[in-house]
Amino acid sequence: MSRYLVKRVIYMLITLFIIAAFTFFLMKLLPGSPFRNQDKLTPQQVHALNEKYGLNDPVPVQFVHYMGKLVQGDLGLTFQFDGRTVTSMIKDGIGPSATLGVEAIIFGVIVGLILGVAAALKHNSAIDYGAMVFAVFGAAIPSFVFAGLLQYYIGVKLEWLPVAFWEGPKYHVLPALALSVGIIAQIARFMRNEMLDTLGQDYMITARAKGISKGRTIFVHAIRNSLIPIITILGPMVVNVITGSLVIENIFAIPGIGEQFVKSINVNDYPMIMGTTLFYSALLIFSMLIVDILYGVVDPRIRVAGGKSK
Amino acid sequence: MSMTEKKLTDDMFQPAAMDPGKHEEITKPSLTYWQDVWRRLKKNKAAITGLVAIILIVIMAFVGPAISSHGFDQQDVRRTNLPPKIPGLEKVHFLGMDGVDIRGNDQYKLKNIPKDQYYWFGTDSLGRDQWTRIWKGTQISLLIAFLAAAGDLIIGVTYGGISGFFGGKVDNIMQRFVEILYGIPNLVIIILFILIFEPGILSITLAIVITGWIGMSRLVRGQILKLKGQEFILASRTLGASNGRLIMKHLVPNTLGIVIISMTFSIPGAIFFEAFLSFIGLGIQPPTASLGALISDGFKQLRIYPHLAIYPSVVMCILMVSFNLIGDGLRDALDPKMRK
Amino acid sequence: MSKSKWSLLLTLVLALSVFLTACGGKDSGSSQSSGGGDKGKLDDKQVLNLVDTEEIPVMDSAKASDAVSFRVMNNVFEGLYRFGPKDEPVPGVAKSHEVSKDGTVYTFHLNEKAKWSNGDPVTAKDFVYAWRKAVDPKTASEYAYIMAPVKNATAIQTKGDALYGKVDKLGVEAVDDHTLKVTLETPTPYFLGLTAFGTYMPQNEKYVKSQGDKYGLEADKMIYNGPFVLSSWKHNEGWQYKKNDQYWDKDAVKLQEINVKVVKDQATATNLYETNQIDRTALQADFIDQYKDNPDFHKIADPSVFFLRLNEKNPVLKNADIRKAIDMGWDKKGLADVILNDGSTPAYYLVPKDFTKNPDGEDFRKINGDFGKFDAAKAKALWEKGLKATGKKNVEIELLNYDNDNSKKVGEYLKNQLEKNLPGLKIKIKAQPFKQKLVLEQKMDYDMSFAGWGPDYKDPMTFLDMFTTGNSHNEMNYSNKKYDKLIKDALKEADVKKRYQMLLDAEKIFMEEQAISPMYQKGIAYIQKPYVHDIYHHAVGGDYSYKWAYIQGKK
Repeated sequence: MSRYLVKRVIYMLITLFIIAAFTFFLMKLLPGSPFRNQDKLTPQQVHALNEKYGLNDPVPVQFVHYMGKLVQGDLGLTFQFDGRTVTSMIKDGIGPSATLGVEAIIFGVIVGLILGVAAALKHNSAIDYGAMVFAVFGAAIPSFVFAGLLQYYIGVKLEWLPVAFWEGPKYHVLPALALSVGIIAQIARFMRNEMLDTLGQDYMITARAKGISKGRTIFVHAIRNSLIPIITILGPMVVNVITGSLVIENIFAIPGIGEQFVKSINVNDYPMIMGTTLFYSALLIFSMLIVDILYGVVDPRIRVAGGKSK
Repeated sequence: MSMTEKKLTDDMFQPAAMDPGKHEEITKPSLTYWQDVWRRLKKNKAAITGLVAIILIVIMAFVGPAISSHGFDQQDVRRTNLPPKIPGLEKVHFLGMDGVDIRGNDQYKLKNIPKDQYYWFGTDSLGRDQWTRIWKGTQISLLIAFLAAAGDLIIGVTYGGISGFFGGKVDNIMQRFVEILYGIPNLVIIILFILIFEPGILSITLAIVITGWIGMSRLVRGQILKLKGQEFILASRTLGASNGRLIMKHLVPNTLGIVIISMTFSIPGAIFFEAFLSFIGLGIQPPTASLGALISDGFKQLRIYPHLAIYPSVVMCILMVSFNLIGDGLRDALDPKMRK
Repeated sequence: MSKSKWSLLLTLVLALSVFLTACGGKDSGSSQSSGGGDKGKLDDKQVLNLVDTEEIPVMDSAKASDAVSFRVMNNVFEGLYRFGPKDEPVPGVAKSHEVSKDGTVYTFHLNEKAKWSNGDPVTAKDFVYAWRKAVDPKTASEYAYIMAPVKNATAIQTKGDALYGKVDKLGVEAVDDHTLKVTLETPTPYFLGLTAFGTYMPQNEKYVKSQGDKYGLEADKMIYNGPFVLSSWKHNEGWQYKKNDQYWDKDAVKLQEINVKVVKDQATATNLYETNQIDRTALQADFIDQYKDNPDFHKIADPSVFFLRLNEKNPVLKNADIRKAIDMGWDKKGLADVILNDGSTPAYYLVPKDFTKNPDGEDFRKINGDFGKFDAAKAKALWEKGLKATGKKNVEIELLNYDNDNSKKVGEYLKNQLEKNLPGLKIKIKAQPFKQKLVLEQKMDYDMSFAGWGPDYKDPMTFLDMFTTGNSHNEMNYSNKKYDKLIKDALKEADVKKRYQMLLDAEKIFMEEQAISPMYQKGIAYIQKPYVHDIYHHAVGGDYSYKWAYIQGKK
C-alpha cells in the first residue's frame, strides 16, 4: 500500500505539472492585457506596462520564470488588487468558502442518504415519490433560483434569517441550504438506485435467511454495498463545493474565493488564474486518490491499488 | 377442509406422456431482448406518461411558433412586458391569464392593444411574443439535451467502461488524463473557442464534449470496478466469454441505473451551460434564445414580470420530469433482473 | 410514478407559479413618506449605510485606475481642489490660485490648516512627491496619462525620450511649504478640475516611505487628508469611513460614520434596501420597472456617451450615405425610454449634454444642437443611394457587442430596427467578452461596434481628441484633415473662447460625416431613502462626495 501511495504522489506531481503547463500556455492565448484600465490605454502604454511585468518575454521564458518562483512557494501578485499576493487572496477567500462548503456537504449528504435509503426501502410509497420529485427539481432548477427565492422569502418577507453577509452562524443557513439542494438531489437519486439494486441481490436474501436482523442487513450490507457511486460523485463534488460557488457567494455577499475562478480569467489576471487552477487541481487530484482508496475500503474485492486485474 | 376427506388413490398419479424431443422446449413465446424491453416499458404507466409529454412538447416546439399570430423576432416597443392573456381563460381571473399585471393594472387597456390581440404567454422587454420564443427555445434546448445525452453515453460510458474493466496501467493513464481535463480551467478553453469558432450548434457541441462526459465516465468506472470482482463475471469468464462480450453483455447493462440517473443530471446541466455559452457569445445567435437563456434572463425580473420566468420554467420542469419518468422506466425495462 | 402522481406534480408547479405571481405583487407599494423631522435639525445618529459592487482595488493614489478606488479616494483624500455641490471645482487643500497670462503656469496657495490624519501639515512637497511618483515609469501607473497636461509628463513616460524616467523634470515645484507652482505643456482651461482627480492627490513622502510595500494595503497603513478616514477595511467584505477630526473643513462634515459593504448582486442590494439595511443603491436595468413608481426612485444623467463605431475599413461603411442611413434608420428614443429606461437619453451627438459650458455659460449641446433624427423614409432613400454607389444589393454587417444582459437586448433591438428599415441589410450580432472586444476593436476587425466613452476630465476635448487621424482610440479609421487641424490648434490655443469654438466646429465636422452613430447618453437610476440628503454626484473622477451629506428624519 505505501509503495502504491508513493507512486500515486509522484503521478500527482506529474499531472499537476502538465495541468500547469497547459493552463499557462492556453491562458497566454487569451486576448487582451491584465490591466484594469485597458479600454483607455493606448497600445504603446500597454506595451510599456507589459514590459514592467515581464509580459513581453516569450511565453516559454515566462513559464520557466513562473515555475522557478512556484518551486519556492511564490505564486506572485494579483493584477486586480494593489500589492496583494495570490497566496493571501486564496488564504483569505478559502475560509468562508470552505466553511460554507463543508456545512453544505455535511447537510446535503446526510439528508441525501436518508432520503435515498428511505425511498428505496419504501419503494413506490409517498416517501419515494416525494424524495424523487425533490431530486428531479433539485437537478432541473439552477442554484441561483433557489438562492434568490430563499433570500427573498425567508430573508426579506419573513425576516427569519439575514438577507446576506458573513457575520456569524445564522448567516450560514440560507447559503448552505441553497448550496445543498443540488447535493441532496444527486446523493438521494444515486443512493436510491443503488439500494434498490443491492436489496435485490442474492446475498441480502442469504443474510436474512441466516437469521440476521433486517436492520443489520440494511446497515451492514445494503448501505455499504451501495456506496460506490456516492463515493465517486462525492470526490469532485467536495472539491467543487469547498472551493466556493460564484453564484451563491455573490448572492449572499460572502467574501469567498469562488468568484476568482471566473473573474481572474475574465480580466486576464495571469498569476491568479494559475494560483486558482493549481489549488483546485491539487485538491481534485487528491480527492481522486481518496476515492480510489475508499473503493477498497467499502468493497475489499476492488483493488485499484493492486495493478493488474485478473 | 373438504380436501382432507378426499381419498387419494394410486390411479390419480399416472405419469404424463412425454415427448423426449421436447424436453428442452421453452413454452413462453420467444422474445428478443428489445421486444422484451418494449413490452416492459409499455406496462410502465409513468414512463408512458413521460413519453407522451415529451412527444407533445416536441410537437409544440415545432407547431407552437406557427399557431401564434406573432413572429418570434417581431419587436414593438409599445407592447413591452405585457402579461399573458388567453382567450377564454381571460375570464377566469385567478389563473393570471387575463392581461392584468401583478399590480392589478390591465396592461392591454393601458397600452391600447386592440381587443382581438392576444399574447398567450405575454411579451418580453422588447415586445416580442413570449409564446413563440418559448417554443423556439424549446427546439434548441431539446437539441442540446440530445447532444449532451449522446456525448455522455458515447464517450462517457465507453471511456469509463474501458478504464474500469482493464484497470492497472490502462486505468492509471486514463484516469490521469481525466484529472488533467478536470484541472485545466474550462472557461479558458471556451474563450479560446470563441476566438476560433463561429457561434452556433457546433461550438456548443464541442464545448459540451470537452468535459461533459467526465462525471459519467468516473461513475461507470467505479461501478465496473465493483462489478468485475463479482461472481457472475468470474463465471462468465470461466465459460470463455471474450472481453468485449463481458463489457457489453454483462458489465454495461448492470451500470444502466447510474448511467440513466447521471444523464438526468447532465441534461439540465447542459441546458443551462448552453445558456451561459450563448451569454458569452459562443452559443446560438441572437435573437434566437434557448429555454435555459429565457429562464436565466426572466428570473432577474421575477418579482416584476413573473411571466417571463414562470412559463419557460414550467416547460423546463415538464421536460425534466418526463425525462426522469422515461429514465426510470427504461432502467427497469432494460434491467434483465426485473424480468417477470 | 403513476399517472395521478404525475398530474399532481404538474398542479404543484402551476400552483407554485401562481403563488410566486401573487407574492411578487405585495411589495410594489412599499415606500416611506419623506422625513417628518423639523427642517434644519439633523438626526443625532449621523450614520450612512451603503453598498459598493467591488472590493477597493487600489488605495495608492498614484496607481489607481478604477471607479471604486477613485470614489473612496475622493472621500478620504483631497487634492488642490475638489468638486463641490454644483460639480464645479471648490477649494480643497489649496485656498486660492493664480494663472499666468498665457495660461501655462498655475501658482497654488495652500491652506495652512490642511493636515494629514496623523497631524502633519499637508505641504506643497506632498504634491510634488505624489505627482512625480505617478509619472515615474517604475510605478507603472495605469492612469499616468492623465498627468499629460503637466510639462514633460508624457516625455518622462516615453521610452527612448531624453527625459525618460527623469521625474525631477516634471513641471511641478514646491516654492515653499504652502506654495505650489505648476507649469503646463499648453494652456489647459480645465486644469483646475483635474487637480481634484485621484492621480493628482498628495502623498506624505515620509509616511509612505516608512510603510514600504505595505503603503495603502490596509486601513492602518495610510494617512488621510480628506473629510473622512478609513477606520476599517475588511478585504472583499467592505469598509468603514469615520469623520476625520484633523480635516480643515470638519465643521462642514455632518456624517460620523459610513458603512460600505461589498454586494455584487443587484437583487441582493435591493433586498437589503427593502429590509432597511442600506440607505441607497444603484439600480440596473432589470430592476428599474420594479421601482420606477416608488418615491425613493431617482434618475440622474451621466456624461458617458454610447455610440456605434462604424468601421470605415469596410467598403460599404466607407460610404457616408450608408453611415447616415444607419444612423437615421433606427428609433433611438425607443431604446432610451423603453429598453434602457434608466434615465438614459437618446443621443444625436458626441459631446454629452450638461457636461461643459462655454465661457459665457452656455451648454455645449445648446450651441451645437442635435445631428440627425430618426427618419425611416429618409434613411431608406439614403441607404438605396449608398447601395447603388457601392454596387451591392444585399449587405451583411457584423455588430460587435458586449456580453452583458443589457447590451444583448440593445443589440437585438438594433438588429430588428435596422433590418426592418433598411431593406437588404442583414446584421450579425457578435457578442464577445470585454477584453476580446477591445482587442477586436483595436485591430479594427469588426464592421460596427457598440462602444462607449466616459470622460476623464471636464472638457469637450476628452471626447474629441481621440478621433484625430491615427489616434489609437480612433478605432474606425476616421480621417479628416480639417478636423485634425482644429483639434491640433485647440490644444495650443490660449484664448478660451476661440478654443471652445474650435471644439464646437470639430464636433460639427465629425457628426456631419457621421463617423459614428450616437446611441444614448447614459443615465444612472438609484433608490435612496428619503432621510438621506446631499450626496453629490460628479461627472468625472471620484463620482460621489459624502462630505456634505447628512441624515434627517430617519425614525
